[in-house]
Parts: sequence; C-alpha cells; structure tokens
Amino acid sequence: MMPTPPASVAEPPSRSVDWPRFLTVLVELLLIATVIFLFEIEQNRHLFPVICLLIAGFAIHACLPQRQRLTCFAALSILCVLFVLGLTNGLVVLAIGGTLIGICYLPGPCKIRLGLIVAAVGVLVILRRQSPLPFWPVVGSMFMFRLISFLYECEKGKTKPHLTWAVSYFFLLPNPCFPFFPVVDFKTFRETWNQKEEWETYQRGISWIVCGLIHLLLYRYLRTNIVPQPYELYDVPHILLFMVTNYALYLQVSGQFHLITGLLHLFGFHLPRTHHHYFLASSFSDIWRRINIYWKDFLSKFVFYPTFYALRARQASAGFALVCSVMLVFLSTWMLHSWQTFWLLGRFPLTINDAALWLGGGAVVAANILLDSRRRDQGHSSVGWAAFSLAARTVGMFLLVSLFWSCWTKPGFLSLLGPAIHRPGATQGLWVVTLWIAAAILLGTLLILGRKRWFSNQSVEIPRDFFTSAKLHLALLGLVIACSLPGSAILLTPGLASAIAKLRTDPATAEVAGGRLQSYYEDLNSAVIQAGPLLNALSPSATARREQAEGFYKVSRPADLYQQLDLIPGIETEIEGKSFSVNVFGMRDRNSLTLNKPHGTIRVAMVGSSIVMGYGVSDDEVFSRELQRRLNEPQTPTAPAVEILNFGVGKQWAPHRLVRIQRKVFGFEPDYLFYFAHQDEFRELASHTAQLVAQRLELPSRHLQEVVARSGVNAEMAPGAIQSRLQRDETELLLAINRTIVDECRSRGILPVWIYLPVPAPAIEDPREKLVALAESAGFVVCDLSAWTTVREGLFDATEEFHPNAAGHQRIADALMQMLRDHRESIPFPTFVPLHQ
Amino acid sequence: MEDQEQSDNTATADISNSAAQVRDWLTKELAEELRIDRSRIRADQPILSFGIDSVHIVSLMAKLEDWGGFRFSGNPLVDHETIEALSDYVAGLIRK
Repeated sequence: MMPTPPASVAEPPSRSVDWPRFLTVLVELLLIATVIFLFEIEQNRHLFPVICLLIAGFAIHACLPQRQRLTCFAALSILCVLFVLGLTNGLVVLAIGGTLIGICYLPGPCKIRLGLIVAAVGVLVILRRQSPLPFWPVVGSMFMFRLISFLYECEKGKTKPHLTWAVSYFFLLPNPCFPFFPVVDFKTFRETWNQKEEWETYQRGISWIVCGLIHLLLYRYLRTNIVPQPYELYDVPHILLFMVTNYALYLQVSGQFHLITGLLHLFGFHLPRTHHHYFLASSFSDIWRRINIYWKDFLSKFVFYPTFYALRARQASAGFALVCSVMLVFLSTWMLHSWQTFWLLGRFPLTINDAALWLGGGAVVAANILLDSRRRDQGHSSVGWAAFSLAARTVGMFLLVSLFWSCWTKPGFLSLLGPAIHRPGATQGLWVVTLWIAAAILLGTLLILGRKRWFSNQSVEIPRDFFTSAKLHLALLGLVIACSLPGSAILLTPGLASAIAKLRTDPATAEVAGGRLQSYYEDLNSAVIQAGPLLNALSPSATARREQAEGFYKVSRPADLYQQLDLIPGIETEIEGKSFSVNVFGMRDRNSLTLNKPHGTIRVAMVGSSIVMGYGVSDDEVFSRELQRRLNEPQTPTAPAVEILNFGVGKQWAPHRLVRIQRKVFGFEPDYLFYFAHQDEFRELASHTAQLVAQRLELPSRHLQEVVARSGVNAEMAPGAIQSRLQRDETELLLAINRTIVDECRSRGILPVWIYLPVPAPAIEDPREKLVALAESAGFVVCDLSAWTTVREGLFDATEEFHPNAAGHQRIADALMQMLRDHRESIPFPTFVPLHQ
Repeated sequence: MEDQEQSDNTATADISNSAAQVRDWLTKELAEELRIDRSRIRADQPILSFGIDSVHIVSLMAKLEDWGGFRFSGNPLVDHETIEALSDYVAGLIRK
C-alpha cells in the first residue's frame, strides 16, 4: 500500500472520532503511564514525562483529519527532541539532522549526494571523537543506520519522499529517550502507515507496550534476584545459572523495543514485530528469524542478498555464495556493533575476543545452514518423538546461545569452567546441571504435546476484537496498580508484598557502575540521556541523585535485609579528594583480582569495618594494600605470592560480616580469614537479628537459631519486643556468630584469625577483655593489636573520629607485620616474614 | 511487416509460456519447501508472506537460476514480490 502523501488526499466530508474507542485507548494509556510511574520504569530515560507528552500527542493526533496526522507526528517528534534534550542540545540535534536530510534532497547525480553524505559523516565522526558532548548518542542513534535505509529508498524511487516523511523518520519519537533503538526500515515505515484500521493498530500498540512493560519488569526481577554475582561463579550450577540468566537479560532490549514500536502504533504505524519468542528458537536459522528482526532485515537487505546475488552473477555455486554471505553478515554485525558503540558510548571496540566469537559463530552458522540446505527433513515417525526432538533442540539452542552470549559479554567466561570442575563438589554440581537440562527437555516435550492436542481441537489463534483486548489490558494493568499501592499490602502475603515493593524500585541497574560489569546491551543502554533543565527538574536521574550523595552513600547501595547495603561494583570516584574504586566483586580492591586463586598463591581475606575498607584514604593507602606489598617483597625464590583480599565495608557489623563471609569470602578460597573487631562489636546484633525474625527470614546459622529459640522470641511478636528481648542475649548472639565463622572456616581448611583493632577514643568504653574471651571461646586464633597506637596525633585527621589517615594505615600495616612475626606458630605463614621492616 | 508481427506474437507467446512454466515451477518448489498443498499457494501473494526465511529464499532463487540458465543481477524479490510478477520477470530473462 502506498503511503498517503500529506495534504494531498481528499478528506471525507465529515469525520467524527469514535469516542468510545478513543476514551478506552486513553484510559489504557493512562494506566500504562501509572504503571511506569509506580514502578519507575526506565526512570533514567525519563520515560514517564515523555509518555505523558506522547499521550497528549496521541489525543490530539487521533482527533485530527487524516491528511494532517503525519505533520502532527513530525511536529511531535521534534518536540520530543527539544523536550528531552533541552533547547540547546535539542537544536544542535535538529541542526545536524537537518543538514544531513538536506544533503539527501540535493538535486543532481546520486554520486554527489553520496560523496557529501560520506564527507559529512566523516566530519561528525571526528567531532564525536574530539568532543564527547551529550547529544552525540541521540544523533548517532537517529542517523547511523537509518541514513543508509533512507538513501537507498530515495535513490531507488523515481521521486523523493515528501520532507515530512524524512523529518518523521529521522527524528522518530521516542528515539531521544532510547539511543539504543530498533533499526526501522524506511520502506517499511512508509508502507505500514495507515495500513490497517486505526483502532486495530492502536490496540495492537497497547498490547505491545504492555508486553514491553512485562519484559522490563521481568528483566528487573532477574537482574536483582536471580543473576549470580561475579563472586558466586565458582561452581558449575552457578556458572550455568549465570549463563542462562545473562542471556535472559536480553529481555531489557526486547522490552524497550516492544515499548517503542507499540508507541509508534499509536500514531498509525502498523510496524511488524521486532522479536518473536526468541527463547524458543530451535536452530541457528530459527534464532536469526526471531531475535531483533529489524536488524536481521537490515542486514539481509544490505549485506546478505546483495552478496549472494553478486557472487551468483559471477557463477559461484549456491553453497559457496551462501557461506560467503553468511560470513559477511557476521562480520558486518561485529563491525556495525562497534560502529553503534562508537556513537552511543564514544569508543570503537575491536577486540580479539569479539572477532573470534563473531567470526567463529558465523562459521558455525554457515556450516549448519549448508548442511540443512543439503539435507531433507525425513519427518518423524511419531508425534511424541517429534515433540521430544523439538524440545531437545530448543533447550540445546538456548544453552548454545547462552554460552555464546556469556563469552561475548564476559570475556574470560570460559576460564571459569576449568577451576569450577576441579573444586570439591563439582561432580555433584554436574549431576544437578544434567538433571535441570533433562527436566527442561521433559517439560518442553509435555508442553508441545499439550499445545498440539489443544490446538487440534481449537482454531489456531482466537482473534480478539478491540474491546476484548482492551478489557484484558485494563484488567492486567489495574491488577498491577492495585497490588503496588501501599494499602494493598494488608491483602497480600508479606512475601508477595515485599517482592512487589522491591520490584517497584530499580536499585541494581541504577547502581551498577562501569561498562565492564554489564552485558553488551546493558552497556549500550548506559548511554546517558543528559536531559534538558525542564526534564531534569521533573525527574532527576539516579546518576544525578548519586552525585548529590555524600561520603559513603556515594559508593554504596541498598542490599537485602541480610546484608542491608553493599558497595557499588565498578564504581570509580573520589570521596573528599581521595580515590575510591570498587572492583566487579563489590570489594574495594584491585580490578585484576580473580575469583579463582592463582596456583601457588596464598590468600588472606580481611573482613571488617570502614577502617578495613579504608574510608578516608586513597585506594593505594589502605593498609591491606600496604601489607600485601610488604609480604611480596623479594625474599626467597620459592616464596609463594600473597594476595590480601579486602572485604571491608562501612556501616556493617558482626551480623552483616557473617553473611558477607558466607556469601562472598568463601568463593575466593582464602587460606586465612582475618576478622577485624573494634569497640563497637556488639552493635546491631539484636536489631539485625530481630528484623530477620520479624520478617520470618531464615537465620544464617544454626548457632544463631539456637540462641533465638532459647530467647523465646517469634515472628508473631512486635519487632520492638523481639529486639528488646534479644538485647538481653547480645553476648550469646555474638558468640553464636563467632562460632559460625570459625566452624565454617575450619570445615573449608581456612585458618580463622580474630584481630582486635581498637580506635583510640577515651570516651568509648573498651570491652576488650569480654570480646577477646568470646573470640577465644569460639575457637579463633586471637590477636590483640590494642598496642597499635595509643595516641591519635598524626594518625587521625582532625575531622575524623574513627578513621585513620594514610599514616595511620601505615601504622596498622606495621602492627600486622609484627603480629605475623609474633604468632608464627599459631598463624603459620609459609612466606618468610622479615625481622626488620 | 506481417513476418515482424508474427515474430513478435511468437515471442510474446514464448514469454507467456515461459512465465507459465516458471510459475508452475515456483509453485511446485514452494509447496515442497513449505510442505503444503499447491492449491494453497496463490500467484498474486507475496512470496515472503509464506514465512520462508532468507536462507531458503536464496536457495530457491539459486535453483531457479540453474533451472532457467540465467543469473539475477540483484535481489529479484525487491521489485517482483509475487510469484506472478517474478515469473514474468524471469520469463523475460530466459528470453534474453
């Protein structure tokens, strides 16, 4: 169907709006906006205010005569640019875009236009490299691929499309919010406009928006609750879980793309779907058909088909032409991904890892396609076997794609497998994994058989009319909103209410810093939208909020009730002028640290407070770094290397440290655990335990469970009453925590060392004797460093009550070196500890 | 003059026959590829609307080239989306 040129089609004599349908769609959109607001969906993209703008735009657009609608859409797209980016950056985007569009419309030979475009893009590339200004991701997103499609259609067609089409296409809403945008083909864009009855298109758009929201919430849930942390990737089940959930994070992309194309439906563009049940692909060509379909179509149009037919025109065989075309597609995908990264993030990554993956993947796919084209499907003898075969292929393909994805997004992923297989319990882990896979295949077989049986008795697809769809959407959206309102918590179980409350915020993606921690698409999605002043005032981003935070809150984020807070992995910043960086494992430690212990290395895990973490000093001044440096000073040639792992975190006490040890420390296979205690060791014991009891959460150790049972508290009591009673048993609680740490260390062959490191502060009572007795009773090797200093002068800055300065950290390192010399028998350290500094 | 007219008519008939043969061939191959009855394939329906993927499409086009003894200069389905349109185009190529 040819697109309607604006203002050139005779309008029917009278046209009235279908008010019932119009109001229904409006209500659906308002509920969608409410969900986006309540769940803070894509908050860092300023989605909520933009959705409000688009809803208002839709209301006007739907009431306009047909011939004015495209102009309205173009105007709304331009307004969206200015609204999101602000006047200055917005005008720059429009100016750059206008220049590029203008070149496309120049009269004269095609070669001149192409030459000018190439020159203009070259200039923009240089400017992008030299000045990383905030509008570049938007400019790149709008033109880096769409320019190719537009120019192709312009040169192919007899006449150029009306300028309104060009403006609509390039400044396509909501592109300013989403720099990572589907590659909409210009021909498809035009041909799908007003292709169907408008209300059918609008309702389909609503369906896709709702689908997109579901994907985004699922993504959030997976990211926050299911994806294993880097420090958990030490056994086969966790590694497999990481593989599949890492792939599942692609839900963020499919969610955004559904949202985007759904919004475009509201303005009459009956675009095809961007994704189609991609997790259910059963072969390489099947995944190609289902995932990021617009990208597939773009590469087919501009790489695959031209290459194939060009080779065939040169008398190449079909097989050869097919293989070359597929390889070129994969090569192009690799290069174009880097091209995209350049525009969105300002860097052009070309790594051996990526090259090997994409070209290797291309070779595998090409071989598979060649075999498939030569082999005829014989058909299956039975329905059951066919279902089993399909299920097995689907599970196998899912695992293969997951593996590819993990290798691509986490270079060095394969190196985790070797050590994991050699760890104790690996065989059991492999059996668990095998059972999961078998169960998945069985479940898939049953579902396929059930679906076949169901649909043999029914029509394949039950079409839904406008109002039936609307009712479904309204019911679903209404339910989600109702469950998330504060008052509904009393109607839900505590677990469900808590899960919904947690889902309403997006702490993980907002608080994970650094591109190296995120998958490829999350990395691209981190392209910051620097909103204009108006939008910023309406909805400040998480990044802006973090910049306003001070001190420790700049580098920490909320965690679950057990841990309560954690350091933000990957963050690199300064606190009071001192460098503060956190590695991928959420430790204030080197980025080069690996989960698996290098052969011939001794590891010492240090667990403690903000003093251990090194609050107030730079990364290199923390005493753990200094100690490591001294212990690795050249000694005997056979002396093993020593790694000191810093697990110190501020605002954490004994109960939190126990959980940190269980969750994180043991995965690194330390040989020694140095647990640092100060005068405040009794702090938070009762309150933390009381919270866990009140929330009916499992206590992290049998010893703690026994103490709580003896105290007579239970979840039915008021939290205050629980805490009050547990306060009386603080000593027993601390002893239980100490015993748990010692038991769990000894069972793993780790030597637990308890180190008392008091802060010189006359006003604070010193419970040293009591603490030392508890530590000894629990079975720790006890070291008292009370003598590390008795004065504050020179070791603590005037403004700091508890945190030593750089000189103070040096003194602590001295004390620890002396401790190792004094305790050679109880802490046998294979490396030679010199007698002199 | 009459000879020229007769020659043109023969050429047109040849092309029509070729187009019919091509249409027949394409319908048969598509039906086999999609494992459906030939009667369900309409000549005025876009070939890509049958759900055939790009790899199978190019394989089919390569077979068509070998069968007809010609080579496409580019992707023929861009300008000739249906079986009917493609058949007419291919018939013209065969004629040349």
